[in-house]
Amino acid sequence: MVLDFNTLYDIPRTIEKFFDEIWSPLEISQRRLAYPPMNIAEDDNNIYVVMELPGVDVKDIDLTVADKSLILKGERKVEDVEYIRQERPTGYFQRIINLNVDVIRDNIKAKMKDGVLEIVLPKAEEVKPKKIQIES
Amino acid sequence: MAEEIVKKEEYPKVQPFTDIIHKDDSYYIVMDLPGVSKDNLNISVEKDVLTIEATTNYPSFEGKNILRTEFGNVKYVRQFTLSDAVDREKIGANLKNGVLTLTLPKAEKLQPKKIEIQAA
Repeated sequence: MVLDFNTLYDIPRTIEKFFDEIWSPLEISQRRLAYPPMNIAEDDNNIYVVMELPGVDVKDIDLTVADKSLILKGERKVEDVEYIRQERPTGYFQRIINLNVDVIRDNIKAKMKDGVLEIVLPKAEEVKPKKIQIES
Repeated sequence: MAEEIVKKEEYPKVQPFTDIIHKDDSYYIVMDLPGVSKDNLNISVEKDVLTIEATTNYPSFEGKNILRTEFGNVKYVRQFTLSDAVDREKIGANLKNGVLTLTLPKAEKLQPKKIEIQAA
C-alpha cells in the first residue's frame, strides 16, 4: 500500500463530537474571576481556604499573614520550550483575603495535594462563640 | 455507593487547559488537572482518538459555613486526534501535583528518510 488512510478523520466520530459540543451547556463558563480561584468556609474553630494551583511548586508560593489579611503571592513559570499550543496560564499572581476575625498566626496550616492548596486558619480564642450560663 | 456514582455523573464537563510542546523526538501534552488523583484519571486511545477523562475530588466543606465558592468538582474531558507521527505503543503518562504530562514519542518509521535515486 502506497497510501495510508489512517490520518483521515474518522467521520462518524467527528460528527458525534460536533453534537457533543453543541449540547454541552454554555452556562458552565470557564471564565476565571481572579487567579487562583478559591473557596472559603468557616466553622466555629477555623477558617478554611482552598485554592486551585496545579503545577505550582510549594517554594514558588509566598503565603503571609498581615494584619487582618492573608496574602498569597506566586508565579507560574514559563518553560523555555517550543510550544505548539499554550493554554495554561503563566505569570505572577496575588490574592489578598481579608480576615474579619483574629486568627492564631502561629498555628496556620497549609498543605498542597494534587495541585490544590488547603489552608486552615484557627480562630483566636476570643472570637470563638461561647455559651454564657444564665444564673437563675 | 450507587448514589456516589450518580453524584459524580452530575459534575459539569470542563475542558482542561492544555499545552502541547514539541521537544526533541517527542510531543508532550501538558494538562492542568487540579484536584485529580491517579485513581480518578482515565486515559485511553481508541483508533486515532486519545481521550483523557478525570474527576476532581476537592476537600469537602460539608457541615461548614461556606463563605465563597469560585470552583467546584468537575469532570475534565479532552480529546485529541493522533496522527501517524505518534508511536501509540509508547505513550507515557505522569501525574504530578495536579498536572498531567503525556509523552508522545514520534514514530520511528516517520523520521525523515532520504530516498536514493538510481540512475537507469
